Amino acid sequence: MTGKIATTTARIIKTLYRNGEPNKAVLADLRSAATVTSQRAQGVWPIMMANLERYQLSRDGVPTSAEVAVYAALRFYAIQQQGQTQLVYESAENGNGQAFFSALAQLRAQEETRVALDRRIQPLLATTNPTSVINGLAQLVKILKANDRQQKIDYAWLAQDLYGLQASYEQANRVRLRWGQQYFWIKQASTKNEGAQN
Amino acid sequence: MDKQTFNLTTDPWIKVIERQTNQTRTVSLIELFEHAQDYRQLAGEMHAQDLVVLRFLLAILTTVYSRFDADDEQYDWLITSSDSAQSLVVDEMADETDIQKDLLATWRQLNQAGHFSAAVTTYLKQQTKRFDFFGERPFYQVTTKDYDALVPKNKQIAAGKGQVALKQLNRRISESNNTPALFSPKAGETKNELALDELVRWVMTYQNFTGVTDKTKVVTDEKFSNSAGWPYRLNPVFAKGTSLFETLMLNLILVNKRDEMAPYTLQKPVWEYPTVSAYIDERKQQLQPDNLAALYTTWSRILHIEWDEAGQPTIFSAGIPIFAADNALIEPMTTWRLDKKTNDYRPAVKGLRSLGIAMWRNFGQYVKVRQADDSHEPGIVIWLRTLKEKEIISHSKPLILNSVALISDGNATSQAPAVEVVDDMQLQADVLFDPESADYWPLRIEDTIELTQTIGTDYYHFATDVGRIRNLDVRTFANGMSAKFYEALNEPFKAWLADLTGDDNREEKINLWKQTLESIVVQAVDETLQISSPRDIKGINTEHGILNIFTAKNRLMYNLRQHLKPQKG
Repeated sequence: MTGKIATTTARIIKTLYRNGEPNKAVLADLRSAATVTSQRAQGVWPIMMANLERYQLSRDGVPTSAEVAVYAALRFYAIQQQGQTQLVYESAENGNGQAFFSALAQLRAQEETRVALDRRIQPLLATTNPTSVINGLAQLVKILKANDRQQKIDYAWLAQDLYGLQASYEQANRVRLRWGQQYFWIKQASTKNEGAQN
Repeated sequence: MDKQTFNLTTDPWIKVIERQTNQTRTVSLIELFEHAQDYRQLAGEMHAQDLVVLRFLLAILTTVYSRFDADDEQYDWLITSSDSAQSLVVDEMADETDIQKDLLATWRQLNQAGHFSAAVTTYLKQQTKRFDFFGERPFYQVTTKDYDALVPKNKQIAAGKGQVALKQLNRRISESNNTPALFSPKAGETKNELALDELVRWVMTYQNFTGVTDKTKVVTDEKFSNSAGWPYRLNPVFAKGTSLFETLMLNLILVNKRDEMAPYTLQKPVWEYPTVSAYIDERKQQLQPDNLAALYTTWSRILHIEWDEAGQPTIFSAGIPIFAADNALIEPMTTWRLDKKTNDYRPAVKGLRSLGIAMWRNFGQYVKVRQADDSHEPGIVIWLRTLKEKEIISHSKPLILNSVALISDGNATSQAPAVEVVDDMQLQADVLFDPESADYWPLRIEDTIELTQTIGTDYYHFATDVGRIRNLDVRTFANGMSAKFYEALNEPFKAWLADLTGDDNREEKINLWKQTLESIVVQAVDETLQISSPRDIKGINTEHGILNIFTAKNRLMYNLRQHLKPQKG
């Protein structure tokens, strides 16, 4: 079910990684610029725009949802890739990669991080504003990275989700539902305690 | 108004559905018994009314076939004591086993013949006077003279007190003069209009499903309060066949299985009492009837109909004392519940609260699952078991237990009908009365139902969680969701039940149901997730951490797996 946006994002990530010789300048630009319209994001444009379809590009200067989604996912990738030699992206469907929220779910399984993590995830799932979702996700990427640098995350899929989040209310809901399911899907043993207590 | 006649034996008043055409027809008693095999079922205004008519028909059949065998010969162990045909006595020399054998033979022959014999018609013709709605002894009513003699002076007919309006009699409206029934199937003045045949049906129904709105009572030494009609105080259940004949046959209990020593009792339907006062005198003793015909035709009121010039009826009603329902195990058509305090069996009456509980969930009330259980099977189930044990009905015969309950509003001073509940449950004879003792089907079924109810409780908890997340009135919301869930279970479970056979591998079939059950739960949860709002996804903070739709689902899925996994040991 890999969508168009996901394919594009995967392609761009591979271009940036250049088989172990990452394009460090562009990655640095990505990390420092929060949005695609930022001055410093201009360094990313040549690679990003070249890979997007014509209809996905903005005509009036206001970034399209495709641009916003792809840029955000690339930025998250860049944050995690920093200081890593191995590619931190891999598809969850065809490879060993993990969906972003599944990776978070593993963190949640640890008692000490659960409360803090839940506190961040909760507003994230509740909001309908893409900008705040992206901001929240950026924080989560950092947390994720702090815990395990090596893991491979499916950022392409995340781009697809971010695109869906901006599409319509129904689609956004579906995305949030999927995220919630991935995030809260935990090992049965820990659910048991919860159930017994309530 | 001219002297009218409307004889129930020859004038059409019973509504049935024809098997051939699927059309309704109105037939007379004689026509009905002669062609019972051609009719699918009764088709009156309400199922409760059909039940009443069915019991009435059974009273006739029980009376006839407890006197005559399938060849229309009077049993030779019956002696006519005097000139009248009704004063029969059992020959004291007769052997109980022979009597029982004869009665079962009658049943078997009738069933094989596929239609009722001429004895029924003969009996009806003989009793024709008693079945005239306008006769000297009007059917199911009393004359002015009788009425005035029985009620207090100030309540006599001339005083005009103690009337029951037609709109009250019509149980589809049940309107008193006090409160208008707003959402009734009839409006305004037409509420008080009834065709004659319909009136007959409602009069009969009213005698059975009486509310307690009326104040007039017959004069007794001791005070008593007007009681609701007899079947109104039961949780009625009866066997249903593919034709009216079959239905009548399956419910035609000829041998009293409760008491092995006295398998036979003389039948005495209400119309065979010499006078109304004789009947009322007996009723004043408040004794439970010892025969089915009397029980099936139990009056709850004495009714008198005054016809005015324009042919409009005015109905007078006075209550008569009724026997207690405790341990009235003679009644075959009800489920029972043991009152732990008094150790009495009481009819397991349904209330408005238990409306949503389908019949299959009370399986144990219908079939005795464990010998040690203090439940008491409905008489009709005991009878069917007898038939099966005697191999009169075949092993693979599908038996349908039907339950029709008219449920009162629970208001002690009116007991107006609030809802009618109709449900059924189909099982093969071999499953219901499993001869296998090691792997007794009913026990396994009961266990499966218990398991299903456990899952139902799990789902209820899930619903509670969702209600909490949404900050709703949790109980109402969860009850609603839980009811919907059970509704989704009803059809599949009934189908599963009907599909069982005596030769099945029990474990396999039960696993099949578990799979179905699991998929229904998963589907129900998915539906809830699909329509979740941001609030559901965000969830709320509880003392046990975050509670949102995902954690709620996780918990349900965990419980589901725990409860559905194969039993250890």
